[in-house]
Amino acid sequence: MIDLGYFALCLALVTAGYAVATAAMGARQQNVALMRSGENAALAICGLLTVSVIGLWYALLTHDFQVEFVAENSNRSMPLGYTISALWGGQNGSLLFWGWILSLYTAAVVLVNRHRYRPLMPYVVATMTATSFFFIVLNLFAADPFVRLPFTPADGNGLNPILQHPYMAIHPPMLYTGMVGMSVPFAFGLAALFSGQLDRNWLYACRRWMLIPWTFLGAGLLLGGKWAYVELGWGGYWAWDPVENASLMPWLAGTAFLHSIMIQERKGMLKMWNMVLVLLTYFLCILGTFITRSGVISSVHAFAKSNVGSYFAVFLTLITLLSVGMIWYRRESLRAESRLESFASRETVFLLNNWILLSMLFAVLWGTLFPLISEAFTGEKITVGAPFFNQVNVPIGLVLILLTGAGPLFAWRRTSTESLKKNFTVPIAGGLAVGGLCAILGVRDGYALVSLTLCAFVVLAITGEFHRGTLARQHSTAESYPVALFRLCHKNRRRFGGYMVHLSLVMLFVGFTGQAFTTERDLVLTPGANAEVGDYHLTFETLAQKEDARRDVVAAAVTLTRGGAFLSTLLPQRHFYKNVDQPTTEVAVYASWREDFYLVLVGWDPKDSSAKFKIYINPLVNWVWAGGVAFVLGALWCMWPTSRDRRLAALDRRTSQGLPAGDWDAQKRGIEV
Amino acid sequence: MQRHKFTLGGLVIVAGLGFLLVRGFEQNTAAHITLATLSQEAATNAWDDQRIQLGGSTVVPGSIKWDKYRHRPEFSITDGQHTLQVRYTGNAVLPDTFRDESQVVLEGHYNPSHGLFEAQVVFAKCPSKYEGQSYEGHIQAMEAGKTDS
Repeated sequence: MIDLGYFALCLALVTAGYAVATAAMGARQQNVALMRSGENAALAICGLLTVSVIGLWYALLTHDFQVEFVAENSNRSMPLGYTISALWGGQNGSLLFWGWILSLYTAAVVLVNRHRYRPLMPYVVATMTATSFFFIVLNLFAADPFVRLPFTPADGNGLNPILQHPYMAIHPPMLYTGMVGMSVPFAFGLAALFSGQLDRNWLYACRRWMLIPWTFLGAGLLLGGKWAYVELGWGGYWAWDPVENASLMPWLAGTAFLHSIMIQERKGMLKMWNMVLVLLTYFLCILGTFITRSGVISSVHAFAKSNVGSYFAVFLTLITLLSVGMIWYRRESLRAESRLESFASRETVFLLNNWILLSMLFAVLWGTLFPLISEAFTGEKITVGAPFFNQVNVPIGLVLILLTGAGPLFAWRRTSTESLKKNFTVPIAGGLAVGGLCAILGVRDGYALVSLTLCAFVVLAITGEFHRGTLARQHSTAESYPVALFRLCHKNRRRFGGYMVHLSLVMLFVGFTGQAFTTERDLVLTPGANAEVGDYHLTFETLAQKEDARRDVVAAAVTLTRGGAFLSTLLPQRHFYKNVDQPTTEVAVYASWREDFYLVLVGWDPKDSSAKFKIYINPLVNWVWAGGVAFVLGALWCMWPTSRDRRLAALDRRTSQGLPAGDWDAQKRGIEV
Repeated sequence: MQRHKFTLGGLVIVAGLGFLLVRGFEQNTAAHITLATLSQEAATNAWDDQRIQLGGSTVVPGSIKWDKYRHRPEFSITDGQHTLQVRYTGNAVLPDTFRDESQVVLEGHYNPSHGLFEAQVVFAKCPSKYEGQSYEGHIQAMEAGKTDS
């Protein structure tokens, strides 16, 4: 199987080379047979890489430790789930996995769009298969997961125990699916530049294909945060580590793109800007991968230094040159068709939103790359700590959340002063009321007060949109309120899905705000002793030990009560894995909407069984996770196919059965207008 | 007129961002140096009372001395040529990956009077567990064996 996997990888390389060549030639000569052949080759790459991935999975599951990757990243005692997830636990396997996801995207694009975006498709296929080619080269020459050892170890090293965690099993695939997926909008952007078809078609394609990886990336970021929170034991979920920043940056650029394309769709403006954003998003994904894999910036994320970095540097340079060159070549076609009519318009808010998102992106990029920049210019490497990122991004984030609420209250083109007054009165009053209430309740942190005020403002502004829309619908249809609300959201998925995402952002911000009030305590307790932390009362009951096949477990049992009422028995633990000289810290969390009681067992004295605990009281953390769930739901609401999509797909099918393209184009326009 | 408003808005944002970046930089930066640099320049007092990020070294096997509750250890780091005593003074629980031979990046201050590094933050990566060279020694030994026989 392992040979088959390797063989399939080699064949995939040849196929990818063929696909790039035929698709590009097909596009140049407008030769349909070549284009088709390129598309079919793209499907074949997907099949071959699937075989390759199955080969590696087979080796992992059959414990074929002669394969170095298997020996490095798995062992016999690992549960089935983590043996499967070991595929992306190490560098070489994760790159193969990456290439496989890329090929799945390529196949999906070919199958979904080959009739719809006819002039763009050959270029899209060429770009995507070229990217595949790069990853396969990487896998064959720099990061071969199929390399065999000259001997067969009896057992493997195993996946690091801190990675053996459910969130860690799904966080990397989510993130990869996000990062890799950004290559689709990139490919459509480049295809538009190459073909000169800079009308709105590429934009529609890009929006749909951006939304999917953008959602995955957002979810992946939060899952990584959740993992850090429950596994690393430092009481937080975001450390502004270069690798975290590397995946945040493309998400910010993608967010900016998803907003600014609306201006292009409506006004034919910002064409250049949108093109730059879509190419930048992908550039940042690859830059992030480069940072992660090359070791140029020291990070806690531990992919070892390897020559994979230099491959990514070359790839990064290539896509930069190609992007800049093509934008320069098409600069005349990327001119705006019209100008903004009024300062007080939704367009302005969107523009502001873009500037703010890009400011945030720039701040994060600057802080992340500063060690390299300072070394290049002064010879001294200066690193930037997490407080820098917080200090800079908190104010920017507050402006962003303000715009989230203000945007919908402005009309497109121009907004009259009366309508501004009408729309803003309730949200502003409500926001100030909530802010005032928080101040009375004892919130003294300036940023937190501003944040909570703004959150209330945004919630009122957005729910106002839902409410007004529903009333208007009821007026014309005589539906009941819930029915009208549902149909309103269903008929305008994009708009109201967007509002749902905005509401999820509010939940996230409420959660972030809680960080201003985190408290931390160290406690040493003997069994039976009590302590008060905040308004919690805890009793250290006992220290217990147990052993299973994989590990020794030491757990402390702590009873938590508040105001005399029993809340929970917490079992913070330390696990000592037998084949690895490394403990893992398993924290215990009592979570509520108000706050998390986060308990870490630091250590114990075996003589008297006394133990040291670290306690964090983290207000509002649950809002972050709930916000994450709401984010995904809102994004899904946006993406869900509408009746228009279904009619377009039906047309596509008819075209493929031989209807003339001209006829199809006319019909499609009929649907789109 | 319209144009001026947008230019003005852009300038306000750029100025605000610039202000935030500069202010953020005043307090939160540390010089990243290697153990070799620190060892060579420690005598000149160049690094006293400066926030330093110390990279490129590993934990000396067997050097970790935990306190009673396994919270704040003292340990030695080495880059193969120089070694330095480190005392962890931070609050957080050390990462699970901190152990013998871990690659560590430390943030803190050099204390010249005790000749040790007071680390407030410890980042640690395991030497060979994620991805690595653990079998290389074995392979070299086998290959050496082959040429012998």
